[in-house]
Amino acid sequence: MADRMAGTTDAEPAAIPSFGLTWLLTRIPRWAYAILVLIVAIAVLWALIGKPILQAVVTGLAVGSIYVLGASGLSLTYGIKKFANFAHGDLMTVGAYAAFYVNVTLSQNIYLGVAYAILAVAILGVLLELSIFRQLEGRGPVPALIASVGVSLVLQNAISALYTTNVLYLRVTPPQDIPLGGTGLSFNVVKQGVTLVVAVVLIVFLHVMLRYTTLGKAMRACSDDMDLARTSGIKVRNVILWTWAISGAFAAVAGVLLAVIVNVFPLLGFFVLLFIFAAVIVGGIGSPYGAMLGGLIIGVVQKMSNVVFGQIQNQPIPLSFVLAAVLLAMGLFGALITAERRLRLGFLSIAGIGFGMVLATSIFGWSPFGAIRIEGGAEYESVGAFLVMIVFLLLMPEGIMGAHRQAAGGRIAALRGRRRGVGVKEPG
Amino acid sequence: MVLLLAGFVAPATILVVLALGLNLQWGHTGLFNAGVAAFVGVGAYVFAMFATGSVRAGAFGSTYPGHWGLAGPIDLVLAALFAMLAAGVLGVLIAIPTLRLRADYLAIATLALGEIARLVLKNERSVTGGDQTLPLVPRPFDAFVPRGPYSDAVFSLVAIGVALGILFVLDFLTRAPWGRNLRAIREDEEAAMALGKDAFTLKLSSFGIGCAIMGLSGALLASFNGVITPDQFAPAATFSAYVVVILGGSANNRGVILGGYLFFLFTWTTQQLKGYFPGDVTLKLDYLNQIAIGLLLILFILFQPEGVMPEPKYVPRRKA
Repeated sequence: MADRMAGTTDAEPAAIPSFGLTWLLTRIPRWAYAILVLIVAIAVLWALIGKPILQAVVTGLAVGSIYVLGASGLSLTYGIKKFANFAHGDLMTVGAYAAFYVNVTLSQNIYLGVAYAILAVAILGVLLELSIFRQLEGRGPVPALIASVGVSLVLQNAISALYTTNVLYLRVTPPQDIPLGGTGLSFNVVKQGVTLVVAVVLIVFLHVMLRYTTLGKAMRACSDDMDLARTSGIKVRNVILWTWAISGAFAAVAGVLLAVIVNVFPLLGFFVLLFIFAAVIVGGIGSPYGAMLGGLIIGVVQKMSNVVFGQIQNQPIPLSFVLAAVLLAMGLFGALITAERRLRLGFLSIAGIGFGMVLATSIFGWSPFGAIRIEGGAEYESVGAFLVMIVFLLLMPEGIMGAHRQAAGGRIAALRGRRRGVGVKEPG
Repeated sequence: MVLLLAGFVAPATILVVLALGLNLQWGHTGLFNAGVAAFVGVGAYVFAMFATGSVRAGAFGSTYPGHWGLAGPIDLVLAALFAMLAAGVLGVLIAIPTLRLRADYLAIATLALGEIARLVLKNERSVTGGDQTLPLVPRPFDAFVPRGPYSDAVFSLVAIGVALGILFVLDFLTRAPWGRNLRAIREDEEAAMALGKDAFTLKLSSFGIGCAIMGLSGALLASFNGVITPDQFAPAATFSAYVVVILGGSANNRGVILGGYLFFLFTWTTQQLKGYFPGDVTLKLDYLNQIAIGLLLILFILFQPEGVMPEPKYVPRRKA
């Protein structure tokens, strides 16, 4: 199956029209399209709700930059080991506790704590590979996934047993929020500024490393085709160990930043694991820039959903339709690639519009179910982000910057090849 | 002694029912469903809402509005059937879009959908009671045996009856051509499709039936505990079901039953040991128990992936 890598088995194009949209959209890169959808959504919501949306974008970018760090590490191991590591969130937690140990228990500088956390989690990642995941090579994605669930249980509970489940705090006092003159918005130098800068710096570092160093090239080669890399004389086992170390180091930094913004508790990382998966999937597995954009998109969507679900009671009809429209528009690009996904988008649109109508009318009390109040409100902030992830899984599993299509001569060539029924052979 | 045993058998059997449902999905069909807890939760809530009827005093003196306009509680068997139906239909609805995904993508998608379901159960307080719990869920034969150790014994018998019924049905289904097709899909989907099997419909039906059985186990759980809260159905519950299936033996219904009792014996023993240790150790026993479960999962995947009782080789009966 040509599309195995993309996660689905697609049928050949049938007579499902794309209304010329394929022609239009192949002129824009996928990532630019996703950002465009998001910007339009922000503008519409700004008109509907006002300033809280802009504040949500600011906080969303900060939270998103933590997802960026988690996602780029997860994406590295996912690309090379080809399984979803459910323990990645707990590696972040271990990083946070390692920093706590140095910063509070030993009363040292936080920077020393970060260094110690990076070292500790990198070593932990290497040990996990040596003791568990190396033995599971060649048995497909699921056994390793289940083993990672086991690792996650062990790490979470070992931390709970050592430190109890109490909430702990690092000895870092973030400064007060700075109001941005006249706009009514505020900005926090540490919670929002530093996280964003650290994320950008580390992603640039990762890009340079993957692009220009021997190790980075070897990592990309292993990610593309492990057997070919091995036969070309790359020491695959060492490359895999380095990948775990780098992924662990990124997880440690993400964990410490998260600990500064929230605080330290044993489920710290596990709670953000799904957002990190979402960022990886939206960004496209194996692309650090994709992970960066994906993390920021997921962070912004999450914080915007917070506001939208909080306000949905006041303006049910416009908000439920904006929600449905954003979800469908996010998947539109991917849906144009094959006829089957177009069909799937059709089903999803009907379901989405129907759901929007039921939601909107029931809040007003017109529905057969009587008036339903959405009581969760802002509690549903994660729902928006998860739904975006599911739309991507269904309609664009290769993500906005998935690398494998470019490798086959560019996205447009891939699209045209597929349309003619030629198909582009993908690794996997 | 018999009464102590009843307190053990009833919850263990509920776990066995859950694991039998999961075994159909994971063991026989190879579908990695990471949202098990959500289906159990939906079953538990639907059962509880039908079985408790409409307006009544809840925890902290609050009242819950009528559940779908029911005047009073309905028959428990009917409520359990509704629970199965709700979980099964939800499973099919979730499966239609997600079953075409790769195994690890399916895991992520179902985990996310399960989390959404838990958030809805937790926040729609006027329907589910939310964090305030949904109390006063009746047990069968409540009118004859008041809640207590004797009621536990009666419930154990009911649960064992349900588990045997499910086992009978599943044994029949998995020996039938339907079950053999499922295993063919698990081994090689493309080969099965080349032989003319409709892989998608088969996977969909397996997923739906598995979810319905999970819903039934949720109904039993709600009835046995009498009180349910949304946080009971957090992802951790999913993973213990997987431990049971992998420990017992994927695709071996009897192995899964053995695995369920072994696993619950382990957890239950940890609970019983609590009385014999000083306070600070007692607090940590739960964590140590979970660590041991995680280690068991890793060790079984590494060294004994077929479980305690490996999958039997099905030999077709020869025609005389």
